[in-house]
Amino acid sequence: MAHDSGSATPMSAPYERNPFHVLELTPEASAVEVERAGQKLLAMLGVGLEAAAGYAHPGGRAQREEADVRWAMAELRDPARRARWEVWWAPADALEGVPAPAPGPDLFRWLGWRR
Amino acid sequence: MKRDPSDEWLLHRWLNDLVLWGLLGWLVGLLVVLLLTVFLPWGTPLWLALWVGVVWPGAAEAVLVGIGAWKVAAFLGWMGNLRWYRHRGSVWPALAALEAVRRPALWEEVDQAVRDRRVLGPGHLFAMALQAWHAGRPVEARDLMHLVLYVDTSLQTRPLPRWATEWLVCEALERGDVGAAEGWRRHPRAAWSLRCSLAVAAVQGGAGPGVWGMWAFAGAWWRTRSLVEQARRPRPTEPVPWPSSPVVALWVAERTGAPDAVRHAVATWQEHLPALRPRVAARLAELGGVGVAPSVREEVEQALADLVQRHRVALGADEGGLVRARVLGDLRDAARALADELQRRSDERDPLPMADEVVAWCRVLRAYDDIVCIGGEVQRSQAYGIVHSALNNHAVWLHNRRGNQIVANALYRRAWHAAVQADHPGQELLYSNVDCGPGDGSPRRYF
Repeated sequence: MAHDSGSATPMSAPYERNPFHVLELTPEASAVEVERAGQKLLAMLGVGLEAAAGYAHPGGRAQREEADVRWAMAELRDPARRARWEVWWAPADALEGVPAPAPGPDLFRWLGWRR
Repeated sequence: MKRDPSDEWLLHRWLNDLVLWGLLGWLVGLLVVLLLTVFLPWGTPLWLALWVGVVWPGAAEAVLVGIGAWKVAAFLGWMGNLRWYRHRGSVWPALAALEAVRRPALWEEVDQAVRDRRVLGPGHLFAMALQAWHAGRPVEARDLMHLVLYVDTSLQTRPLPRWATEWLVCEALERGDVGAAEGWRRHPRAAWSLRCSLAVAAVQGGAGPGVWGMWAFAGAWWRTRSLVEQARRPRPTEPVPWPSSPVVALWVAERTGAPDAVRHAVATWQEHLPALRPRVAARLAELGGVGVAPSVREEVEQALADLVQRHRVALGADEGGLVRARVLGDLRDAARALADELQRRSDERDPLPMADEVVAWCRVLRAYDDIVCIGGEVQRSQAYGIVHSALNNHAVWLHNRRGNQIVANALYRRAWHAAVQADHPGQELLYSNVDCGPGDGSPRRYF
């Protein structure tokens, strides 16, 4: 996901991208665990491992780059910003039981309209 | 509500559309057949072709609709109506836009042709709506299609309201808003057809065997057959379980876009908001932080306001709280800014191309609609008061100074309907403007 790594809220809604998801951690993670997860992901991305190229969040999956990992580590090192991100955190599988809106019938085509 | 001068009485419509033209066609046809069969050896087939194709194309139209060639049918229907000849120029952009929907390479030409017009007709509005739709501006397309319905019926734009209504119904159904689609059935200017009923039934499901009858009369049977199958499947009844976590509720609302999900997200956050600041402060102390806790509450309210605005969900006065107030405040500011800009351009005689003028006018009315949609009926009167002067004055400018009587008449009528719904005193003025009529289609400046 391309973004400005210095920005605290690079996307439109604050719940859409969360450093805990980027580092695959939960709010219970300690500061040491944050550093360890970040360094591990940076090393994996450095050697181009496929497993580190993406991460899950409640809306689906997103791409992960080194800049994302550095941004996430910086956000979680600062206690104030970490407290904020904890409010916006939800488990990555939170929407598993929620059906995605089913694509309806292609009414325009059936009624003779083309796009 | 006063009678709209362009509303046709049912009997008049019937006489005009069916009996009068049928009788005329029959008499002319009789005369022609007598002459042709007397003087030409192959007169009868020629007469039949003339009678069906030109004198009374209703028969040909019915056959073409039946086999699904409804655009050709509408064109024939238009050709058969002599009163349209005064405004012949107006139908071409509509037909060109319909063709461009099929062949997108034509859009540039159609778009340029519309933008170059100094005087717009009903067909131009329809073409602009399709162009906006094609360019991925569905809200603008919806506004323009809506405006097509308000064109004076004396211009005999018969196919355009039918197409516009079908488009508006399909668009509402694609957004998942069955209520809005059904709303067009009751709209005084919409031309609701069996295809619209079929489309609604296809989305709702659970229709009885009567839907086959609907299909039989809807035409284009091989295409609309799939709609019957969709309509006959059982209606889904499983309710979606609402999450208790406020963040998950936000995600669910974002994913489904369902009004109930958005309301649930707002309600869940309302419960959590009072405890949010102490919770964040306590957590900050736990993490060893110093200083002021971040104002997450402000951020939450903004995220909820964006969500409500994006999905245009109506919030009751008792369920939205601060979020509702924030959204309505933002919408009122936006409406004021748009109305002020429109008024400034009317006052300073600062013209845009006519196509942009219509879009700008519709955007102001859309701002009013947004307030009513989210704030409910109680907001109607006050919200209309914000935009009334700008809407009326701009339409007057387009009518008097820029010679666009047909479009201005549609704008007056649209604003008049809004003013009547809002019970605004400006409705008398708008009615008298509507009563000026759409002119004869020729550009004319009054001063």
